[in-house]
Amino acid sequence: MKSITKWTLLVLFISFGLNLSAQSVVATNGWTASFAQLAGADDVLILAPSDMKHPPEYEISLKEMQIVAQADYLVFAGYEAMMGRIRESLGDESQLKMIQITTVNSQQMIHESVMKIAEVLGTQSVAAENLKNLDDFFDLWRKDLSWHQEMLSSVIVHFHQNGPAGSLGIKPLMVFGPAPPTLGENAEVLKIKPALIIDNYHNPVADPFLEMDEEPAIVRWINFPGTEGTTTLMDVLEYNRKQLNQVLD
Amino acid sequence: MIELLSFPPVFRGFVSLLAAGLCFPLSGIFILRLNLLNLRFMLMHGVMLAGAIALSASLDPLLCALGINLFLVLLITSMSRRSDIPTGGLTTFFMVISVGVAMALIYKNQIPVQDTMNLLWGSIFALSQRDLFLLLFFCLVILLFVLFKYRQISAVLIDPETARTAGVNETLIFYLIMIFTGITIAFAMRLVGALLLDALVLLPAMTAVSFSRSLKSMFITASLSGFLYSLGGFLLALKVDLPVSSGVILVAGVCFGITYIVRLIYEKHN
Repeated sequence: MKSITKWTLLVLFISFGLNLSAQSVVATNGWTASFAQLAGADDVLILAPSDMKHPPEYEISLKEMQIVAQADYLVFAGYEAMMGRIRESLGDESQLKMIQITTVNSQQMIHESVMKIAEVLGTQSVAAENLKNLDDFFDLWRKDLSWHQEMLSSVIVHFHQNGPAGSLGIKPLMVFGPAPPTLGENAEVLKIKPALIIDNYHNPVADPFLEMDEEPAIVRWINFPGTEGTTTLMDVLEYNRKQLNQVLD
Repeated sequence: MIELLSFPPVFRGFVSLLAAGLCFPLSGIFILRLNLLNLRFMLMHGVMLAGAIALSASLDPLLCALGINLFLVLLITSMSRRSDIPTGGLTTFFMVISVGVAMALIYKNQIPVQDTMNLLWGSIFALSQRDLFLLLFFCLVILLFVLFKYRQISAVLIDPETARTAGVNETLIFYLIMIFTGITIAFAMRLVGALLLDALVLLPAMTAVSFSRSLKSMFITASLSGFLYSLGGFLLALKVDLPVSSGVILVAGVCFGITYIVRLIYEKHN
């Protein structure tokens, strides 16, 4: 009887241990995955292919639905086309813990979203370490930009890039998009005559502004990892930094 | 205002909108008189298919749309004239086929749906210089067609059978009408999108049909209405900062509503 109890306890202990070490995290796209990685999640499974220009449109397959249903955690933002289908198909018995985050690449929002994931996963210390590196990166970037205040005081920014621009201390004279520019926005841009336009790579709308007499410099920042081999949030920020440096130098 | 109009994208959008407002309602008259409303739906789906092809093969979306619509109208006209199959059935068939092929292309080539959906909205300030010239050339051609072939056109619109017996080359005129309708829809979708193209094409024509006693005054009223709706829509969009296509549909909708009420009152008193 004692030996049976011992064996039972051993089996329970092993299975519990396996459970802890094999917590599977699924993310809807490269962007939500990059937040999860920063929060300390290992081996995050990403649903939307990284080479998609606009990953929120990705439609989940039945096979992927099964993977999601068996996962422990799903990190999502809420704007993904697949979320409706996932919510519908998950039964009441599903053990999946859904972690909704806000995906904006501003320093503050990255902190909030990453810590929200870390609290659920129990990886706060890893997340804090990663966020410290992120803060150092932003500090350095801001320092670099302090040499270009003249150009950066005349900037217009795409709606979906206003967050990271704000974290860098850029105060845009106008926020445009995400819809194509209206007559009013065209008139506003003509009045402002910006020196720099920060457009969004994933749905660029600033092309008409480039026909001004004094052609402004333009950068197209990314949000989702995937462009030019970017895989992490730090890659994304580094890519955007390089893009900006090219027009500032 | 002057500075804004001298801004190339705005200038191109403004000129193309006024030209379209003046000339596209002529096709609207063709659509209403020959009951081609189903065909118009099919042509809109044709533009969707063209968009999917253009995005898949990195081709020019406008030229693709013009090509696909020309192919579809010629095919349908030819098929409906050589068989007893009603045009409505044919247009429905091709409409479904167009969407089916478009969806398959979008899925297989992983085309961003967002890019395809842009076709539904149009983009008046995204017209290139070449697009503008093509549009102005087409407007000139359709205007000259109506001016110089007015008698034959009116004969075909009133009664094709009688037109044929009176020596009018009804087949040629009918084919040309279909071709112009196809090209009009392709251009209108590029300008204001699928959801609002009726503001440019049909509403001015419907206004004209309400008020005109002859086909001649119908064409003139449709053109003038279209021009005024476009100009009014543009000014409204400028005044209250709206997308131009929304401005046009608001002005067109309100004007059509007023004319409809006026007509109702007039009929009641007579």
